[in-house]
Amino acid sequence: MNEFADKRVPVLDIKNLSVEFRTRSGLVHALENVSLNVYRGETVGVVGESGSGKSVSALTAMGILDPAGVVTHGSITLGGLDILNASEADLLDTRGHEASMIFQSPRTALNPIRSVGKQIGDVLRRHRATTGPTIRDLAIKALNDVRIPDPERRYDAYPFELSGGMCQRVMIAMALSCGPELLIADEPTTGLDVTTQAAIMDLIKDLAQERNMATILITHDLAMAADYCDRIVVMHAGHVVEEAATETLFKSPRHPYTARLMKATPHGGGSLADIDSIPGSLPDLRSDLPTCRFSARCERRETVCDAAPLLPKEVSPGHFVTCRRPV
Amino acid sequence: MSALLHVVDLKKHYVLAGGGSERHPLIRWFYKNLTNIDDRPPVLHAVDGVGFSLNSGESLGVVGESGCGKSTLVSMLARLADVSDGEIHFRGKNIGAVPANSFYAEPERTDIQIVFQDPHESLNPRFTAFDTIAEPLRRLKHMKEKEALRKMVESVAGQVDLPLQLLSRFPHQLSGGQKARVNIARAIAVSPKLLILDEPTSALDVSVQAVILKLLVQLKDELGMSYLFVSHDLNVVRLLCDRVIVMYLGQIVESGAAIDIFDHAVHPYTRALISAIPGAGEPEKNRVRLSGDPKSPIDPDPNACRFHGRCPNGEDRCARTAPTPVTVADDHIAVCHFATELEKAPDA
Repeated sequence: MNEFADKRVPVLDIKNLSVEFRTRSGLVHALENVSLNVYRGETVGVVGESGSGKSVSALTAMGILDPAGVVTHGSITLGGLDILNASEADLLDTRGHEASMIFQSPRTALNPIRSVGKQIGDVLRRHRATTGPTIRDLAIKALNDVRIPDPERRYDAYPFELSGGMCQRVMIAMALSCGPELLIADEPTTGLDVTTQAAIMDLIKDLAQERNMATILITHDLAMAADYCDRIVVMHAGHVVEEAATETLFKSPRHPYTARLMKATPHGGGSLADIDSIPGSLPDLRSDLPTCRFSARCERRETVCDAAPLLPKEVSPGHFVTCRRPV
Repeated sequence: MSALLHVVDLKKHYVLAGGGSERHPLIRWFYKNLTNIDDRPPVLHAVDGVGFSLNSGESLGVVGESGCGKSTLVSMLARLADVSDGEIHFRGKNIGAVPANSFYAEPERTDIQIVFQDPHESLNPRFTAFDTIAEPLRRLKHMKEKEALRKMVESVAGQVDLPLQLLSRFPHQLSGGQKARVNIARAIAVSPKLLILDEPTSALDVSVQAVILKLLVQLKDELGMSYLFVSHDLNVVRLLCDRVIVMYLGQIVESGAAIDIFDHAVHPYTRALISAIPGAGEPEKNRVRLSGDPKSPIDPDPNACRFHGRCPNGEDRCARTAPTPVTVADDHIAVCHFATELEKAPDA
């Protein structure tokens, strides 16, 4: 606990991370120079289209990157532990205890042939030196904490007996059962209804506040990030293109991609003429990539954009933009 | 203006296993005729008495949570599933009476086309884009001549802005947005009057979604189609639809012009749905949040409001009598006991 008491020491600190995937069809430059940190008690949103590297960043931070992925550069510190050089035993102690992750599609993330209470018990047994009936009580308490009605009865339920929203609550209960410092939520509400989505997001927000956790919310939905995050990191094709406090980002997006993304998102009030798509698509990450990976889709592109290296620039306090010609 | 599609009291009930259906026929007969034991199997009321009409040139949005019967409704309207009860009048003809497995022979098969939900899953992986678009032309328009077929497919591909060199590709060689275009091209190839769109953009990224939505609006004007647009993304429905119906557990709870529904929602469920849209910027105290899950659609109590239990302003009356439709404004109907009171109350 003590080392996190200082708000200025981030719970998770990713520095200049580059990840490559070796595939049969060539080397995929999935992440390049990604930096991301999150402090206690704050919620950071990671926003981007599919394929922008949001999930790869999270998986690498948890030390569960697919074996095909290779970290070529950078460092990750999670709760004082150097993730990239840690032993598997240390990683196992960290995961679930100091940092937890909840995944999209809770139904597939849960074990279908084990009752949900027992699955929560498994996590508790691994990290808390308790056994027997106390495990059951703790698991029921965990279910109760995520506001599942009638937790004693639900303890014995199997995932197929629960609705999608309930399964996601179970996932959250499991993730939070050992009181982690960091919660990574990877698209926690994809496939859920809007009403359930709102309930799940409210729950995550409340629990994070109660426990003063650091939370990373990975989403493709800018509007949702706006509602629940303190700070937003925008990713595009494996680069962090912009980072700012939520209000600043929405008031004055500086990277052309962020601006275009906001224009492409339908929101209440506007008409169809107000929304505008982003031309082109994500570049093929297998090929030789330009310095700015957005340049092929960008209308503000000039020759200066091709000059390497392109580094994040602080345009106002806490507002970083990785662009030579910001809006 | 006469309605293009007029649906009257449409129902789809699925009889489930259990109850009498698993017993020996003799015992079933005994129970039925010689005792008063209720031995009927449980029935799932997927769509339970839905009625609406859609004028030509109009786009109607259908919104609701998963499990509310949207997709069942769509498959009945597209005549892919049989109707349990009720009528579907398409240009005056009751197409609901035609069994789903012989509907392909009707002329209305060409007039009603559907764009399925997930463009990644709903294309035949062994058909090229050309084959996918040509298939309905071959089957329904009986186009045999190769040259004419090629010309037709190319012109349809042009309508959806699909580059012609992509026509020889298989689905796995196409991006999500391109697959969505192929899907739309397949549906509009036979120039339907009614296009049913079942969550056409839910599997796409926002940057692609915007293009597809604009394409849909443009096509509607060009080809004079009517849209039935099913979605759970209310922001998209708001952009595209003239009228909206809101479904809950197989029934319509509110219907009306899109502006009325979004700005002056009356039914508590609609209000909760709208307030759940992220980014609405509402202060926290004004948010309406629903607790719990919907009731089971299996043998619902006919004498209770189906929303009772989740409703923030439910009363005893809601558990005893089912509400009837109340016209709160011109062409704006809410099915709630408290519709008139709620209409006067400012948006919760």
